[in-house]
Amino acid sequence: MKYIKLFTLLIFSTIVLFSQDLSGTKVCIDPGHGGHESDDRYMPETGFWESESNLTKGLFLKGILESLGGFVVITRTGNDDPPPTEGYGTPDDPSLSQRAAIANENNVDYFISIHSNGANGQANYTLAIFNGKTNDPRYPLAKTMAQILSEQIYTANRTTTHYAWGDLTMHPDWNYGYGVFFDGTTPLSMPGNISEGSFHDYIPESWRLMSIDYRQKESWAIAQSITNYFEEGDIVSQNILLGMVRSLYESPDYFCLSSLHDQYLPLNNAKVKLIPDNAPEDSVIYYCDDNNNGFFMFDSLESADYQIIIEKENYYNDTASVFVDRKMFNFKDRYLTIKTPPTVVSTKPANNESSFPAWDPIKITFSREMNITGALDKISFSPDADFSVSWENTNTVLWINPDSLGFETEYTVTISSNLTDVYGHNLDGNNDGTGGDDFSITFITSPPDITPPKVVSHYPEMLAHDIALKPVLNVTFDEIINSSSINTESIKLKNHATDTFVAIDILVFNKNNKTGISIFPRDALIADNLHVITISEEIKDMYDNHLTNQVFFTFFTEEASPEFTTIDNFNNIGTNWWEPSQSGSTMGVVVENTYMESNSDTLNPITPNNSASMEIGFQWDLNSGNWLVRNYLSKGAPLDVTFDRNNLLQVYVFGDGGNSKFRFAVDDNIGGSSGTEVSPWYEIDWVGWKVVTWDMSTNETGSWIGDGSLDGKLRVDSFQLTYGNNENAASRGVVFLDDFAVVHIPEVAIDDNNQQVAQGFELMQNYPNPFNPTTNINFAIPQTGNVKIGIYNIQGELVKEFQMGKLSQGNYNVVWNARDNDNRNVACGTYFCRLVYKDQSITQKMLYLK
Amino acid sequence: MKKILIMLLVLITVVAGQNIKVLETKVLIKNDNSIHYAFPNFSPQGDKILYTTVGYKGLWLYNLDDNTTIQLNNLRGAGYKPVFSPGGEKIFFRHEELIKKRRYFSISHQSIETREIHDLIQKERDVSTPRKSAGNIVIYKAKNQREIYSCDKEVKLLEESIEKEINAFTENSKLYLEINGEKSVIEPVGKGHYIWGSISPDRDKILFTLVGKGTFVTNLNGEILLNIKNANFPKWSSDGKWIVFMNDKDNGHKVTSSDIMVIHVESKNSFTLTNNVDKIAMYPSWSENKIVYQTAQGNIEMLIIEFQE
Repeated sequence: MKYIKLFTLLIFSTIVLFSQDLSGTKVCIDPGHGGHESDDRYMPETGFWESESNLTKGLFLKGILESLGGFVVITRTGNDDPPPTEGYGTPDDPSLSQRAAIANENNVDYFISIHSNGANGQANYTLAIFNGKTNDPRYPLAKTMAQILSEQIYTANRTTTHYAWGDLTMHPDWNYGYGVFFDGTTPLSMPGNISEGSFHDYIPESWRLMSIDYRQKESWAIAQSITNYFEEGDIVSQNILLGMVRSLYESPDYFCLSSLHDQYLPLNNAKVKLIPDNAPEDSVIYYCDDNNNGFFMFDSLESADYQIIIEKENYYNDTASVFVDRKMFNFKDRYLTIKTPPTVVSTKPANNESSFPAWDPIKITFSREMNITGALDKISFSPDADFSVSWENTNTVLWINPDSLGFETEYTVTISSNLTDVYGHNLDGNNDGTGGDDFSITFITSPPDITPPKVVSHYPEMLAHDIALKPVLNVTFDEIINSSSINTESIKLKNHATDTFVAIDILVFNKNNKTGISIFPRDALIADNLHVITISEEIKDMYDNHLTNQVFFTFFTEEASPEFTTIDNFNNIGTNWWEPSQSGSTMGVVVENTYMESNSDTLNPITPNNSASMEIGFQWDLNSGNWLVRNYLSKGAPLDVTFDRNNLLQVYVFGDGGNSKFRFAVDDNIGGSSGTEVSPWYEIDWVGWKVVTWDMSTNETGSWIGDGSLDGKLRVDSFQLTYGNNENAASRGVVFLDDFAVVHIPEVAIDDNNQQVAQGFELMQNYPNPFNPTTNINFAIPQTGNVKIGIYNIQGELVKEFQMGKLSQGNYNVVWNARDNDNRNVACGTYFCRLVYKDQSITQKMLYLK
Repeated sequence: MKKILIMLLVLITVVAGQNIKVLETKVLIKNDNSIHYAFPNFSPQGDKILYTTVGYKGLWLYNLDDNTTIQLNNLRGAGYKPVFSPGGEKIFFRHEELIKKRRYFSISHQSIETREIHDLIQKERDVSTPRKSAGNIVIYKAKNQREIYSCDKEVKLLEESIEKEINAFTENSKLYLEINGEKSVIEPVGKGHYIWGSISPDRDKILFTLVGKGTFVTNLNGEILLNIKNANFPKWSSDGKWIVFMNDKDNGHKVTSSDIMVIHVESKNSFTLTNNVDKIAMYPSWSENKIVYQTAQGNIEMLIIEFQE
């Protein structure tokens, strides 16, 4: 291990007279960690020790503040102690309680603990921490300073973003706070912050932090934060020019954030010459170090115009003009071009790829900007194909657009070595470092379809409630499914409560280039149980493309079977229902292809002794702006069935997946001043049988000729259809209706109390949402009753249950910490929160993110 | 807050010539939701406990006789090193306000009975916390300017009119020894940050911590009598034979554990009085047979101990 003995070098040698005055102001600087021990942070990839970096920054900051007249106490000045007893302090790594005591006993005005951050190696933002919650700081001024600090360091370090957070918000489970602020352990007696300037486990940043000057730059930013905080303004006389020297056409082999331009390889040992325009004789030179950061910095500059010339062996020299403004940080990054021939760095398709979509363009990425003149003539196909080309990304990416490639055919694309870069280097096709070689890739094109099938709709919806015990379940795919893959192995229904599979029958229908699967349990399901439908990856389309992932959807069965009153089972339609053309409301249709008739072939299979259904055919006139088919109920027994809005209307609809829309219409206030109200539209995106239900108790209505309110006694007026009017909508279709009925909700006396129940039962959206790892679940109940909350995962499995017992009327809060019933952390993803109160339930969706 | 949790005997330790028995652990004050209580300190008579909240804002007084609590004030910084008058009827404390983000200190005293507050010094920089000396209150200001106030008469006293007492304390990372009203910096164990310094009750020994080096007891000549490696926030027992301290551990980001320990100065035998796996106990204070401390949860707890020869 190489300990860097750098600290004696950190005498603040740049004596500058500043206009800011910190005379009499006391600051305690705490370089975090120390002593190369187990609580230090070490990056073996770069040799970085956080304790060293923090100390460099702290000592340099001390020098700056003292030059401004400030009184500075620093908690440690060395870093070379041998490892102490685990967990206890040493002079070069004081305990947290000792660090706080140093600040307290010196009566300082402000305390800063300097750190860098670490996470998963893929983040690099700036964070300033203060004691308390983000919106409730222990010292409000500490939050003020954290905001200044995070912004200044972010400006200096050019990280991805910056935050000022309260420690108790960051780590609520720690209870006692963070670092030296600990609420119950080592509190400071003055405002203080922890700075986490950047992420040392993000490898490009770790390399940058190996530069002493890069660390000092952060010290300048902290110093300026302190002068800002103490209302002394910016350190205006310190003008710094800084930047990175990188290779334009080379990339490092570690993870990089492109937003920080770290995909460009930093160049070691580059020579940066700074030439003042008005005094060339005063040129100065900066040599970048060999720590893979390419960082350079000139400080204490006059505000003026300069030239910089950058030299690096095997790269073209680079010259640029720069104006150094009267501000602390003036950035100038430079990208050098390497003197090697261009190569192909990637292709799509890859060489020897076996199923490249025949209709996709071919992408060739070169290592540098190419000379595109005459490029078309330097590209050839075998076998021959017509194509065009285009370039992007400063002519480093070539797109080859074939007119039409054959399916399941082997092609070779060759790029001639005569293609050159903008510097005249011939292509190095075999990547041996010498130009003059052709480049080729060979691939085989795909079959006509390579897209896996997708589920476009399913019934019931995820976590639906009150599903019938003898339901018709439906899954519809976006393309035709190979029927051989549809069986009781690839589609399963499971009772989650009893952990048993349910015997099912399956019917498959193909319409409008979609496949719909209707699923029927052979026996009645168990009431009030959670059930799961599983569609396995065995499902495949006609080109053997399988479903990408298993699909689950879950539902709860109803607690008890409701009562049904049949309106019309359509076994004998007769003339009770009008043809669409008989209604003056029907419009926007091709009349000769729009009809209603009885059908004896397509029948709801769960109905015993079923002999006929209602078939409605339609063709939309796409030149019309308004479309409606109205099948009016004019007479007969169905018209005698009356009901009120405390019921459901339901009908089984065999959909064609053509995305036309269906709705119910009812006449209201029968016996009085009657009007006609309609249900919302239901888009027919399914194929096969599915029950369509209008829950009138919610009074959710569509818009037609009524007033939108379901008043008094109701009866059926009509079925209505309209054109889907979207890119997926078919212009022609057929649907079948069967077993039209009123579903009676058990009578509930409508008195004041019960109205309060309906109104006062609420489950609010959890907050925060998305969350990590805790979230608040707030709910309200209007009267005393038993309450429980279930948290379900996306597969419908109960992961956490809160048995609240009997609660009285009021508002309640439950905090979920993303742990399951066994106190294990749950995976990130979507969860459903289901609040159950008496016989009612409400479900909300929640998102847990890392 | 009045709830008292009586725990069973925590620990019995036997050493040569000295037994310590923890008879009882009491939770005197429980945190009040978001308010965490901290830094308990006994009155001279040991019948009251003065404490504050995290951030040292405000002072509270717990009366052990009737288990009642009163809040004395809500002044910022008042909870940092307050001292009782010798009779225990007044509290002297420093409080502060921020002017242009700089701390300006006032020194005040408050009657426990009437809760009236009177200022001795108002809004000055570089003012030490009040310190007791020979029945008076001593305050240091900038440039070592020393001011003495009578605890009884609320008047500033002339240096030549008061009785002198040997004292030792730490401030600004230095260890001071004060003899005949003259203070001098001493460095009995070398350079560094000296903190948590105090004189023994019999005024012949000095207790302090040198950051990273340990906690020490020396005589007035600076000769080391005791060196404890992992002892923070050390305080004398009432008889000066013992020291109570916390042996906190951290990982550089958070305190991971801390127990209250005592050590016999002469025999150097030490005992752990708390044995809390789930509780972090810190910042103790000692009076006769009682040791009080705070927990990381923001509670104030007290041990009843028994010395056995």
